This record gives sequence, C-alpha cells and structure tokens, in this order.
Amino acid sequence: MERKPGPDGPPVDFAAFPGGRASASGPQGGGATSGASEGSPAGAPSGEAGAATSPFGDGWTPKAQRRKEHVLLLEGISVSFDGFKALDGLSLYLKEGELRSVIGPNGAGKTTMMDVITGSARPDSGEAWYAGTVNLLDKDEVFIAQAGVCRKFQKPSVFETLTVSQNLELALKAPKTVWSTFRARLSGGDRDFLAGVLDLTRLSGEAGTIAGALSHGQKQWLEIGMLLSQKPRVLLLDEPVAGMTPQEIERTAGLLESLRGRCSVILVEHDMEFVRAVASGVTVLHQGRVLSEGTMDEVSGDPRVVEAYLGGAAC
Amino acid sequence: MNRAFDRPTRIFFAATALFTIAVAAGALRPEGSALSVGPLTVSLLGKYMCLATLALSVDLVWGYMGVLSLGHGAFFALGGYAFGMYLMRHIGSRGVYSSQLPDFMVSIGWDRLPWYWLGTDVFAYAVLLAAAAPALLALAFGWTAFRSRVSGVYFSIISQAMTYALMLAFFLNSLGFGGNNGFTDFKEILGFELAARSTSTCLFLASASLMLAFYWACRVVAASRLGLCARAVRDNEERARFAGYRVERVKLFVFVLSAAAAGLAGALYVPQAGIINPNSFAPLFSIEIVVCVALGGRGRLYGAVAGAFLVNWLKTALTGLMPGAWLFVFGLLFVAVTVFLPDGVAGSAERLFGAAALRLKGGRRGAEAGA
Repeated sequence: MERKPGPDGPPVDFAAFPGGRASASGPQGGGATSGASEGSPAGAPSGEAGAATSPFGDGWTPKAQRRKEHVLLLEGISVSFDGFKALDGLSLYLKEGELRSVIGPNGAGKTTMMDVITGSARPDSGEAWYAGTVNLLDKDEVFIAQAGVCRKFQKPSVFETLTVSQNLELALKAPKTVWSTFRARLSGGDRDFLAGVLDLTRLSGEAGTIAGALSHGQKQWLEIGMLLSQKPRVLLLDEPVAGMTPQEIERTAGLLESLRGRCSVILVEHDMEFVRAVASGVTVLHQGRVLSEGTMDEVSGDPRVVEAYLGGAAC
Repeated sequence: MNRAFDRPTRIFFAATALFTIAVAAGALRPEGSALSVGPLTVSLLGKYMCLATLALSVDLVWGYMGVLSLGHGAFFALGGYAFGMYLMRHIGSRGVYSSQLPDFMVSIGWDRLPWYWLGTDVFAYAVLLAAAAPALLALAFGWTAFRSRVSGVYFSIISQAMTYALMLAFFLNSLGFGGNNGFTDFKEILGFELAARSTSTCLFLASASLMLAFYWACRVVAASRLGLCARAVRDNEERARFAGYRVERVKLFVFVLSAAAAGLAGALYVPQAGIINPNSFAPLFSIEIVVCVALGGRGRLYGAVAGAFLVNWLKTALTGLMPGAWLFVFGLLFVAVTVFLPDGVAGSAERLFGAAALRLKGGRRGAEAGA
C-alpha cells in the first residue's frame, strides 16, 4: 500500500534483468516472430526501437514484448489475507525452458505465488500471463492445468488406491470433458509415452503397484511423473525432495536435469544443497517480494539474503 | 467392453440369472407342489431386487466416488411417486368414490387433476418421469452442492436435509400426492391385474432385469477412464482438479446417473409393495440403504447387492418375529459394521479367499520346487 521510493527500487531493478537478457536475443528471435505472428503494427518496430532508444535504459522493453518473451510473467502481484500481505508487488519472469529455483524463509510467499499462478488464489493487484496470451488471473485451476501449467504439491498427492500406471493414465494430456473421459482408451502411442514417463521416474518396476503402497520418495516421483504425463510447458514443483533420502535427492536432481529444455520449471525448495546441485537461476523471496536474484553463489553472497535468513543476528 | 465384463461380474451375472430363472420357474408351478414359490415370496424378492438396485446406485456415488449421500431414498421415492401416479390413474372409477379422479383428490374437494398429473396415464411417460424427476432433482441439488465444493460430511448432512424436507412436503394434502396416506389400492398395470400371479412374476423378472442392467451400466462406467477419474476424486479431489478434470461435472454426471436408476427402481418397487407414502422419504430409509452398502462392502457393486438382500431379509424376518426389535438390531448392525467390517462382508470374504488362494499358490510352488 505505502509506495515509498525505497521499496519501489527492487522491482525496477528486477525488470531490467529479463529485459537485458532479452535484448541479446531480441534482434534475431524476437524481431522475426513479432513481425510474422503478432498483428499489432506498432509492436515490432517499437520493440526494437524501444530497446535501443528507451529513456529507461538498455534493458527496458514494452510490456507486450516482455509478455511475448516469457512463458510465464508475474508483475506487481500483491495478495493479502486479512491484512497480512503474503505477496507484495512480486514480479517474476520465466523463459521457455528455464529452470528457476525460488527460495526464501518460511512465510516468504512461495506457496502463495504458486497459488496465484495455478488459479487457486486471486491477487489484489498485478498481472500474470502465461505463454504471452493467457491471462492467468481470469482462468480457473482446471483451465490453467489443461493449458500446461502443472503443479506438484508440497505433500505428495497421488491417487492412493489406484495403480501407478492408472495414476499416470489419468493425468495424461487428453480432452478431459466427462464424455471424452468416458470414451477414452489408451492408444499405442499413449502406452509408449507412459512407458517413457515410468522409465524417467524409475517406476517401471512398479507400474502395477497401488500408489498407496509406494515409498515416500516414489510417491514424490509418481507425482512428478503425473505432471510429465500432462505434457506441461511450465512445471511448478513445491519442495519435491522434502523427506527424501540423500540417494533419492540425487536421483531427483538427475530427473530435473533430464527435463532441462523440455519444459520450464519453477522449483520451490528449502534444501539449499539440492538447489545448488541443479545449478539454476535462483530467486530469493522475502516478505512477499523478490529480495535477490542470480546464481546460487551470487545470492548466498548477498548480504540482504543472509540477513533475511538469519534475521541479522548472526552477521 | 471386455474390461467391464471381468470375472467377478461374470460370476455375479451367472449366479443372479440362475437365481432369477429358478424363482420364476417356481412361481409358474402350481402352488403347493415341490419347488413352487408363492406369490408373496415372489413379490418380496422383486422388492429386494429394487432395493438392491437402489443400493447399487448408492455404491456408485459413495463406493466409487466417495460422495456419501444420506438422501438417496428421496430419488427412489420420487420415482415411486411418479409411477404411482400412473397406477392411480388406472384405478379408474373402481375407487371408493367411483370417480375418474383418485380418491384422495375427491375427498379434499378437487374437481380436476392438477397440471402435473397430465399425461401420467401414459405408461411410457410415467416411466420416463420416474427417471427424469429424480434426475432433475439430483441435477439441481448436485449442481449447487458440487459447484460450491460442498463435500464430505457436509454433503451427507444436506442430502439428508433434502430428503427430510421432501418428506414434510409430501405429507401436505395440498401438494396433490395423497398426503399422509400416499397412493395405494392399485388395480392394474398395462391392463394386467396386479393381484394376478403372472403379473407379480413379471414384475419380479422386470426388477431383476433392471438390477442387472444397471449393474452392467455401473461396470461400464467403472471400467472406463471416467470410473478411474471418479475413484481419483474419492482419493484426492484437489489432485484430480490439478490433473485437468472438472471435478464438479464428473460428480454431477455420476450423481445424476445414480439418481435416475434409483428412480426407476422406486417405480418398480411401488406396484410390488402396493403402496407409496411420504415415509419412503424418511432419512431412516436412506440410512438403511447406506448400511446395506457398508455391510456388503462398498466399491464392489456385488457387495451392495448382497448387502441389500441380507439386510432386507433380516428386516423381513425380524419384523415378523419381533416387530419392535428391528430398530435395535439395525443400530447394532450399523455399529458392528463400522467397527468390525470396515470393508464389509465382501471385503472380508475377498481377504479370506485371497489368503487361501495365496497359500494354495505358495503350496503348489513349493511342490514344484520340491519336484
């Protein structure tokens, strides 16, 4: 609510981050697509001209351009519950194929951010766009899930009385109206695809096992496998390695590694070693806003991050 | 459709068909001869078949989808009333007042049929109404409840409130459904005397066919991906939603299908019972059906049928011996099932047979290893 010049600083800073990277690829990729696909006459020229002669500096791009360049874009999202600000002007930009870790102390707003992206929570202000054209704020959970934004919950949630392969079959990307679900049969292609998912999640030997009988780590993998069956474009993983053994964590890191390039991933995680292991861009949230952004080494060297985590006492 | 017709289903169909044929053959034999089945027994078994169909419809929504309806008796009763209208119309002028109007209308001074009685003398329309009226009620009720994500015990409570409210409404004389007394004194169905032995045998056969047809429909739904989806909703509704399913529509579809079947079962029940009154909307009746399903073992279909036969046979036997005892026995049964048989009779039997089969297999494997 209170917009002082100080708190306004980080979002402006941050807006420069994706823009700066975008301007590098802008002339080849961005220019061509915006000319061909987007009908707006002003879009293409102003995008290129804007990057060069913008009064806001090199990194600045118009909103429409930013939207087009990111598979997921959150800008100025604020959510409050009974006066408590869970998110306070949060902005986050995710590129196609990027793996981004989001860390932060408890109550930083990580889960609320996921809720906003998946349509479970409605922000008081801000914008959220998916794939450049889908306004996430006026879509519900089911639409967003079908559109390819798939979410893994913190607590492993699988269908406990169904077998592993039935779990995957249900998640499979397909028309999901009542009638088409009633008529649905697994095609040969579907079977091959599901076999691939089973393989990737190391559950090939458990295809016929009731999901409730799996170990905790296997349930986490099964849930990730279900997300993969949905053929996602954006994967949201809420603490996927919580409660796993070190070996399982290592395998999960390998699994995420193998997803690189297939879809974009937002990984919310408490386990710093794991975040370091998957070696991705890291965003640190604190009190509902972005505190720091960069590689794991950069953010862990950031004095603001150290202070947020340790409460300033240990500095 | 082979997935739907699995081994337990084949066994169940074979057993039920044999039983049905045996009863029908017995009913055709002259009374008093060996293996003959009296008309009272035939219509009793026919009523059990209808109650088994109702139990199946509860099992479909509760056993498979985890939606516990404590008001399913309302759909059954509504179907019964819809078909009861047909039966009342075909009493004709044989009533006490010798009027074309049903007796209760004459006694409250009505001189013509209200609009919602129009066309109820046509058999096909009455049957359609018996399925459509409960289905519409289920649609309206389910739509409101599922869309507001009312589930669990809250859904059970409001479903019970629904049937209770309907009971109070049907007690009103001014509603035009006979008030306290409901419908009774039926004379004929499709021109056949209801008192005739052949008619009761035919009604029994129709009830058994309806039960098997609905059983088959349940199997087809359960074996489809939609059936998987229903079970997924039972396990984890949130996950199902995030897997891309419009959970409330899945629930609504299954709920409406179940209500329509319950209505048809009620329609067949009424001519065999010879009466329908507002007590069929009583919450206790709906709870009895739920106990049938729980006792039989939910999520199996044949468990629901077995439970319905078991509980209602017990009820018939006990009411004959000690009329006051049934409620106490029923209460004990309710507690006993919850505590000792959480999977029902079918579940315990499966575990028993499963263990025996495993031991048998183990023994055989041991013998092979020895050889």
